[in-house]
Amino acid sequence: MEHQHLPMITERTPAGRRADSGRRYRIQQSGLEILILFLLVQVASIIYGVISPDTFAYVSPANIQTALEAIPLLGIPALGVGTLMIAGEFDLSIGANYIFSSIIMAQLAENGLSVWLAALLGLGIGAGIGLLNGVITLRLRIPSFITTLGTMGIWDAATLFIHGASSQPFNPPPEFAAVTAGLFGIIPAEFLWFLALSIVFWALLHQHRLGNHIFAVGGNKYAAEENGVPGNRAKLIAFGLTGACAALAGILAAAQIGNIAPSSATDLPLQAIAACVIGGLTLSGGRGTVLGMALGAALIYWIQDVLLLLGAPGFYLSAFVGVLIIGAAAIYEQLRRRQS
Amino acid sequence: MGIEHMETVAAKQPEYPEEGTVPLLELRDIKKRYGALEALKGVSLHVKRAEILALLGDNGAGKSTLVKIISGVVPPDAGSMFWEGRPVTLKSHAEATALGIETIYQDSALVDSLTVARNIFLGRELVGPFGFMHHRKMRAIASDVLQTIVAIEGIDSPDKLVGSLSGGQKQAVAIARAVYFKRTLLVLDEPTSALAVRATEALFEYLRTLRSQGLSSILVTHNLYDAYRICDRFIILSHGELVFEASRSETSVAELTERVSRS
Amino acid sequence: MCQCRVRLKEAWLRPLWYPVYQHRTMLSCVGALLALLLTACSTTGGSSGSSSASLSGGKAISGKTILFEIQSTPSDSFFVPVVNGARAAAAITGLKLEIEYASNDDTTEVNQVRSAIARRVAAIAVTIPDSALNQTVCEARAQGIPVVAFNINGASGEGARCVQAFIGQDFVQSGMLIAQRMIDDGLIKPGDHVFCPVESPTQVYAVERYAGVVQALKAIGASCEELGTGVDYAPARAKMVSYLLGHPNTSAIIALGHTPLDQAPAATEQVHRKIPIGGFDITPDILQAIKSGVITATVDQQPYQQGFYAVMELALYLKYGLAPSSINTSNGALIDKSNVDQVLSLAGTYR
Repeated sequence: MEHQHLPMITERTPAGRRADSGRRYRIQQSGLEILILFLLVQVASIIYGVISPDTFAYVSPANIQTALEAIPLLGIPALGVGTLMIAGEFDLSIGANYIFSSIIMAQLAENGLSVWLAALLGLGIGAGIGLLNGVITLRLRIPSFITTLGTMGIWDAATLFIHGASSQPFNPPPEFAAVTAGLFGIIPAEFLWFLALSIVFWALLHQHRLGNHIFAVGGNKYAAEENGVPGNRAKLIAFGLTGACAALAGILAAAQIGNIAPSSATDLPLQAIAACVIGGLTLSGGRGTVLGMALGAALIYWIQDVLLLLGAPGFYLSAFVGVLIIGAAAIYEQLRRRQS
Repeated sequence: MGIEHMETVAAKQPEYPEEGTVPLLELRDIKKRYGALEALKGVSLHVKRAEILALLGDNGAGKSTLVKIISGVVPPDAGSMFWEGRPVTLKSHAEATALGIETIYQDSALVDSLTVARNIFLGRELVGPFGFMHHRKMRAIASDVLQTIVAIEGIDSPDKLVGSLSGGQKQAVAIARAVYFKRTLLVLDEPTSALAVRATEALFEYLRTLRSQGLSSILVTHNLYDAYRICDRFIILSHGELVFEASRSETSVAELTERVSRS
Repeated sequence: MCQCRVRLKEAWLRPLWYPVYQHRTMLSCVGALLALLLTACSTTGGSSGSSSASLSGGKAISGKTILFEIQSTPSDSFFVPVVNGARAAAAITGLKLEIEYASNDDTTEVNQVRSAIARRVAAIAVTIPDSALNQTVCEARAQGIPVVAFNINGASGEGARCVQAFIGQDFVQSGMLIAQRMIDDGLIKPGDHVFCPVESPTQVYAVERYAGVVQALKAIGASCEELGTGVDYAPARAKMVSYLLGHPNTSAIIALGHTPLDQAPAATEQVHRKIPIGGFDITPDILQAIKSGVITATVDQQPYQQGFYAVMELALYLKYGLAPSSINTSNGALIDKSNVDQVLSLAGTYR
């Protein structure tokens, strides 16, 4: 570009120090805290599990496989919700979307449509629901919290209208089941989807121009648009991605369970937001990492798993997840304050 | 601070030699109304090449509206604009930027949660195939810009979050961004309001350097002393009308003060 | 969370309203108690449920409105057979049903019932999740409107006296029923530890079913622990796997709701253990697991009866002044290998 004409005014800092402090700032912004926390709890759990496999079956194949099956069903929606939170918006309709898209897919597939085509349609419907949330929010200039509170009800009702109240069975053909709910070695397919999607979201949010726009518009929409960032487009894409992620999770869950209950997934929107908060995202937007979203979802599962393995009273599990959310938010607030 | 270096730069050959008498930007009879408020009642002005024009006036005189029209953020209701003699209609900020008009806003238009480097390249990211960003390149350039253009105290890295900077530092980042992407006309809306004295001096030196390279600037300010020190020509707006226009040799700080306060 | 949702494979494409003209066939499946009414209905030979003729004498009640208030949402498939039963009774008696859903919100439910009182409905059948409706049911009675509870009756104090009858599962007795069945089959022995997962442990249904299970287990010296699983299948299964791994001494599972019961076979399979399973309510997978022997037995709430008798008792009260009586619709209602095929053939509509 045109920086070759820069005149010299002053030189202040030795280049070496600049590079060092740059690395420090980059590390601060990389979501390293949650990676360290995650690795610490994993190492501790694994060590204890190896020492005492009879009282703490953490490293048993059954536990590992269950974890790798369960985490993606929260983690994949969390990737979408996290992206949207970074763009400064919320989607409370992902639970309704998750049900609606997957039920449509299952109905079509059970009625003879190719399951691949049905899944593609389900994903398209999910993305469409997300985009519609975006269009309503941006066109009518209302908070997305309100928009999606409304569309949550609308899509819940749409499920009833199109499908009814009873649950929808889903018995995919073996090839489809293998790709969505099969095992690759000891790794469940759901987890591979989650891993692949996390990499895609990392590339998109942290490496791609669109990601930069999503961060910018969530941090300060006015400033972003003053600088020529197409703010509404960035938000709209984030809405669409959120919807598609919810639908994908719904489809994977349907394949895993073989059944979709219209009354389920009511906790999903808040759980996904909780995972993102544990992963270091702020409710005000503009901040966060894909690493945080993924590990936040994993940590929510981890705390519940460990407590149950330890024989803690299952009655009070939610309290521990609650403590984790508040604790994480408090730690991030301290870290941010120290940064600025 | 940096003044000595400045002189060596100023001695360089100008990059854009003065051309004829066609003004860089000309506005004719620009009108803008917000509901019942007539913000601009038909303002005509021009900016020459390689000059620093001061846009003065009290609060509510119409300066901000004029800046928004020049930077393409707001379309005028009536009137015409000419860029290097050719009629233009600015439908968006991007179109103004494409012409070569760069605006630094009063409120800096920075994103606190992004790094300095990302703010400098915001909306103009350096990207490779498929839109993936050249992080390393952008950081290197940002580092260079911070080091060389404006002496920004305390910004030791382009990876610092803008939210962790002081008001003056933020303003400096905005200025660094504008001058890095210098095109032909810089519009500075109250750029010095948050700057320390030394940073203000550095900025003015820099504007002079740009002028010597053939670039023009419009400085919108309340500070008449600052304006008088650096600007070549002065325009005073009052209640949406142009009430005074004079070149530096024709007027004085006293007269400017008198005209602004009377309006 | 409702205390007793059930999901049924066969019903998944059927709308909530079930065509009235099918009611005659439907009725043939209800108990012998109804034989007389059935005959009356058949002999009228009408194509629709115009059936004031099927109940003769007493006051004219044909065309009068009954509020049928459901605390849950329309998406709750448990209530599909409940509503079918209610519609069948309404068709026989000529009453008009006004079905409302409170979406699990007490305030909504109170307002819906109050507004029905203001409209002067002839009678009210209502699910009462908790004491929030105490005052409202008494207001109805004060206006001379009869009230019966179905499915769940959480009314207390004065409110409990205002509810004339409860038609639904006796949760404590049902808990004892399933636990005793597993003890009798030799699946739970003295000193055993039983795992009792349930969607939401704080709900009345969970508390009381658990109490019944504990009562039966205590009698032989076995213990039992509860775990909240939530209503979503996948997370429920994961939690149960974690629990089973953390409690290798678990020798049986009694799932207190359909979500954990549906997922219990998969969870035990995942930890490679064969553990006897029993529980409550039905879903297609539960019925299949009973057929294949993985689940020993489940307690059926017989939801069709709940809707049918609630409306029928109100009709008999309005017409002849017969006082409504409480019915435990789960009395001995175990589904096991011996009767699962019949249940499968009727699931979703009548079961």
